[in-house]
Amino acid sequence: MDGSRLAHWETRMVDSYAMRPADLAVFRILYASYVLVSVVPVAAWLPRAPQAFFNPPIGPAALFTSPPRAEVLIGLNVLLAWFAAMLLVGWRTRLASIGSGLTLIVLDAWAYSLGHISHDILLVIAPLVLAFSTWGRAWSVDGAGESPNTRNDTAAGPMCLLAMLVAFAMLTAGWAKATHGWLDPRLKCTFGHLVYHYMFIGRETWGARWAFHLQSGVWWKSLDWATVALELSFFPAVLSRRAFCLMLAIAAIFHLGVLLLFNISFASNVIVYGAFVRYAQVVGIRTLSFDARGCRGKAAVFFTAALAVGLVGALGKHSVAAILRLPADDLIVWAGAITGVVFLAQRSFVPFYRNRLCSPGFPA
Amino acid sequence: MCRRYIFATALALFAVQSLFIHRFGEPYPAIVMPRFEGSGVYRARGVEIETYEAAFVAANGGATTVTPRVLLQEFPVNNHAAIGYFALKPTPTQGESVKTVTWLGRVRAAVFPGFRKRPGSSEYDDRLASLREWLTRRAATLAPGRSISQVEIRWWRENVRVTGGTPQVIQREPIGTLFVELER
Repeated sequence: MDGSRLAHWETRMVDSYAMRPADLAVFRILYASYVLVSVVPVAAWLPRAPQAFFNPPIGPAALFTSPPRAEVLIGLNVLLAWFAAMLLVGWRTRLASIGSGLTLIVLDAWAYSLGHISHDILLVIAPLVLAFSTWGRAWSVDGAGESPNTRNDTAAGPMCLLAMLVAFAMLTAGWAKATHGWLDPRLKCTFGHLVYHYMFIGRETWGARWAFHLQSGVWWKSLDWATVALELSFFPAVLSRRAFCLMLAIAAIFHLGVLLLFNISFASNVIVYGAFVRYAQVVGIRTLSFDARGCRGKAAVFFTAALAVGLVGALGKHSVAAILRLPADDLIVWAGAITGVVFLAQRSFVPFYRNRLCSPGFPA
Repeated sequence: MCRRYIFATALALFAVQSLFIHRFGEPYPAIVMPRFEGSGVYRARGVEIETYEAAFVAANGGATTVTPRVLLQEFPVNNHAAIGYFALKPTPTQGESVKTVTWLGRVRAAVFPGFRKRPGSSEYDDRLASLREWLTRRAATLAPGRSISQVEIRWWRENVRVTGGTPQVIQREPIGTLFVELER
């Protein structure tokens, strides 16, 4: 392939990831709401840990030799709540995005300083990448009075980069499994981990109890291979937005399986997959925008309410979702899986040009 | 955003990150998803699991035994395995000095003093003291009203096999115990 054809192909690939500001605005609000309701406070339990448990990976927490004081973590959580509230209303969106991402990195570094990394990195990188997109241009203070559906303002580059990073992350998981026995027909890795999590970690789910009755080696080995195939397929799939969205739909269903069997919720991943959904086409929200005159008043109310929610979490020991006994993470995984099923059904039964959920380009 | 060769750049970054993880372990932040390698592979004879129980031994000889889940209930459940393997397991290195041989190791230790701070000569006493203090508090909660003199973290290697739809321990052997004398 010569240089000009390669450049043309790359341009087409990147441009296929274009999103309307209105779509990204819905995602921005979902993302910020999730952070405020379910993520804050991060690592509130850490001050109770003795120094003997301190075992950080290489990173910001390893610059220190013991866990921080409670006041430091409270301060960082308040900062995260502040940035997330700014993000919710789209006020200084770029600053809020970068602030949210960096604050999450620092807080997560402390949360993982006892040696366990929860792999919610996509939740961290999404605002850092989308800070350079148009996700603050609609339903926001920054974009007050602007049309949310400007055609020539599509944020294709950051979206393509985000897709690449999602695929990259999946590749690390698939590659590690493929090179550590998951393809070996003599080993049942998914089954083994299920037993390990059930017996040692205490994740005694009804899904695991049901699955233990499935003794077929072929079934469990197929599951191992399917998992590796799914995670490795993301990387080539990123070359085509259609294929990438297909992988996201399958992954969302896969995450529900992981939740039911292992009681491990990858809600943070599912939230980030939501960046690729064309909400405006699905739920008919093409024309809503802040009115320029009433914008600041409305935004102030929303900002105050959002910040209050975040502060309840930041200053307490539990997130607002936990206080309300709302299984927010589980609900997000379920919603993601249902969306994935609907998307796959559309791909299977509806003519492709009518597929609205993750369709390429901007249909008239 | 530079659009040229983006795919090749991503692959190169993947290689560099993989090399780094292979050499130093997984850093944070890193663009990585769960690998699920290592423990938890089911072979023909079942899955091998290392687990432990914490025994709060009273001065008069009685003991209150709890599972890791109960012992570490102050912390999120996904941290329990990491805490157990790092801080509650008796290891041959316990009490030995950390030997930093290579220049890279010395640089790493200087920049990231908290990274893999295995119990060394001076740090070990601090860590043991903090563990003793924490276990003393846990003893007051988990064995109230009893005079606990020592905590024993008893480790076992178990072979678990699923028969008839139920995981069962078919073999169990002790692999070591961490003894921590409590403050009185």
